[in-house]
Amino acid sequence: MAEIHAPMSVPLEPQVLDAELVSQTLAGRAEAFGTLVERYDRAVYHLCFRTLHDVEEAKDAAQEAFFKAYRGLGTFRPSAKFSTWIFSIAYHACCDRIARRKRYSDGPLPDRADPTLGPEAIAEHNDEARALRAAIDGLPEKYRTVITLYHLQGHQYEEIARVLDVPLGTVKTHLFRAKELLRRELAGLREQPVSGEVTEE
Amino acid sequence: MNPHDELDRALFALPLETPPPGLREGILRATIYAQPAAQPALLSLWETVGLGVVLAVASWLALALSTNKVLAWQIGHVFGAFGQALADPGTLAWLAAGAFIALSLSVFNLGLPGPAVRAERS
Repeated sequence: MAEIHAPMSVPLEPQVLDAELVSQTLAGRAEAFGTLVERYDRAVYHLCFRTLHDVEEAKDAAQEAFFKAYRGLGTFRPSAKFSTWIFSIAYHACCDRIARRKRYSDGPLPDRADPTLGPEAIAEHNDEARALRAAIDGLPEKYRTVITLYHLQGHQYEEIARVLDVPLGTVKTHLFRAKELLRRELAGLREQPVSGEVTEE
Repeated sequence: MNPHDELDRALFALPLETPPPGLREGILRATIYAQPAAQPALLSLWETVGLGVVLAVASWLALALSTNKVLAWQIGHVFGAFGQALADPGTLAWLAAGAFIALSLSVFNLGLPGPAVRAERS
């Protein structure tokens, strides 16, 4: 099987370990937390955006996640992974926002794309990548979140299970089903270029 | 071969979303550059003004009493007369009666419904 790595912007083995940066922050060196923000702000925003589908809400949720992490840094266990911890906080912040949306709105959930496309998005003329994004967006929420975390954390299923607070078996099942749905959707797109909604069997 | 190998490769080649401008600055402003919350003032504005006035009058009085003997005698006379009036049994009896009536009015509501009862009815 081919070796798979997490996306380049998510550091796997940074020079200064995250736990060390947390200790330095707790010791009063606030700039160490700035390094953690630099490392994970994009990944956290990615998770929030993929979960919420709204630029402003995703931005707010990402900020909220880091704010909560900063205030609760004393409760962070050194044996845990900072990425898992911050993703977990961000994921729960997103869940709260989704619950609030459902409570206060009877209409369909907003799906506002980023009006200011970044360099990657502009350069993304690759049909495959665009089709994959669209297929992920069409997944049911539970599968979309698992796929997004798999994208961010690679094959660390235990970490994904910790973020979502679900059993490891559930993660594996959801991931397998999500991949099957994606594979079928992409195979269908190759045969017929008109995209359709992904449906769960 | 794993049927999802190709999908995995495509997934991991997918770039992360580009964060909106100002995200990092916003996070840093809310965390490491955040100003500590202002301590609540010990006294309100009116309390400060009142305390200032009392202190100013007390200072003036102390200064005036130490320099002006006549004024000191007059103030002493006023306070003495006031003390004598308070020591009078008749004055004390009237004061006790007033306090008792005020207390009675505050305890007995003369049968009028309270605010909670009124709120329930409306």
